[in-house]
Amino acid sequence: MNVRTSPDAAAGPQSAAVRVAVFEPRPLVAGGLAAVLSADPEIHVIGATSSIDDALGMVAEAGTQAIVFGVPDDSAELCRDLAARFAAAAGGRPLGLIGVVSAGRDVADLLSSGLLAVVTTSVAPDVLRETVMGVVRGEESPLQLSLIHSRTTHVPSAKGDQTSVLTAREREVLRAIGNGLSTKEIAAELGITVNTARTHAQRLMSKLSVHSRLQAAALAADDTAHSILGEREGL
Amino acid sequence: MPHMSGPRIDAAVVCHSERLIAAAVAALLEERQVVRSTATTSSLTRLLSCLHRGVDVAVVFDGVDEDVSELFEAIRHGGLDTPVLLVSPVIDAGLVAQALEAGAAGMLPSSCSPELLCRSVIEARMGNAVVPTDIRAAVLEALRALRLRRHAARHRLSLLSGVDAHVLQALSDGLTVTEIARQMSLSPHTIRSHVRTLSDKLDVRGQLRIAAVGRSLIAAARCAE
Repeated sequence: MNVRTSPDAAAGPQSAAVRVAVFEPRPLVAGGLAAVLSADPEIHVIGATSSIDDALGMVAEAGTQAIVFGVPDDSAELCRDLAARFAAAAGGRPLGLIGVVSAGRDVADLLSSGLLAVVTTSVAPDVLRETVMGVVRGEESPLQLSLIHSRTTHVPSAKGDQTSVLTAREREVLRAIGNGLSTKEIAAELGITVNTARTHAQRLMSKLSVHSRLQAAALAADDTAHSILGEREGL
Repeated sequence: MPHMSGPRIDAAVVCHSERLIAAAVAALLEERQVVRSTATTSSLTRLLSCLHRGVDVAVVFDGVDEDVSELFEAIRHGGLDTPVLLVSPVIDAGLVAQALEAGAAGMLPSSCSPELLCRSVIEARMGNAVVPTDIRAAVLEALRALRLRRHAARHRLSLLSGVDAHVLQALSDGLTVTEIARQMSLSPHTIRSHVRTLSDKLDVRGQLRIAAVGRSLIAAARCAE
């Protein structure tokens, strides 16, 4: 998907506006971020794309002052690589690199990625617009630490809150309890001794502050329901 | 100034804890003149209040944190029949069938194009189901399987007496025999005898197993007709 505005849209009243490209793997989000940015008359979105080649092409165009792009969730390396490719495409011309980061993602590892600003997806749309303008005007510090801070304090932890305190092994045992397995059966299934299985069960019950296996089993069922739609992985 | 022609759909867009994404999807719908006005929110609770205010369509982007059937139960309890379109990062026939069963208007992958989302919002507004064409046959098959499982589950639950069913529900919720006895003002012996009946009727041994079977039966039997 590649949305380009017609050439004449760039002329006229908008010609003085800041020229920004948008790159996001999900076309809906790419188009959406472009629409959010376009709400500011001082910002002219030259295009929104989900193709990296198109994005590099837009950055290479003379006059492009900034690129807003979705930061890959799992890899800082990938982000650093993207930032380097955009900078190279700009060919030494100043380019504002603004990363849009998932609300739950740890941003500490992006500090040396070459980004000029990071905006998390938990912010209001005007924060994105202000950040873009700030970066282009050279007002931004190397990374917006205030935003990093807001991310660590505001974002609620992801799904399965209650069971997130458990170790992976305890979670396996909890799942088995939810399926109605006895301690002996759990031990056999996980290849551990009955005593170990019992210890896991006791520890997870005290961590979850439940006083019976039945209650733990009900919690395990809730946890499974939580992951029906919210999870990206494991399906 | 509101225009009298052109877009005519009031939509609410929600994206869990991702306000910017919700706003982006809403801005996209507005820009394409599909919707007249959008309310964006990052919480499902606020989505419900939007629905009460009378939006025409709701778009839930990138999955929901809570159990999807709970969302739709809340919608039904409020006497609402607003079409809700789910946009999910992972999508397969089973998930789409579950969502449709729960009462969703449909489901799209979050990798879909803006054009497809716009068209789907309009379809949902007209009361049509939205299912990606490439998995339509598989969704129908999954729906049929869900329905069969529901009939079977309802049949097995219908064989239980009222008190048996209550005890099964309580065990499934994680209550112990003592707690159930206290709750129902009966003696623990009576409850234990009901547990034995359940054990016979459901053909499983042990309270934990009964609870596990109970949960799956109750889940399968749920859903409005």
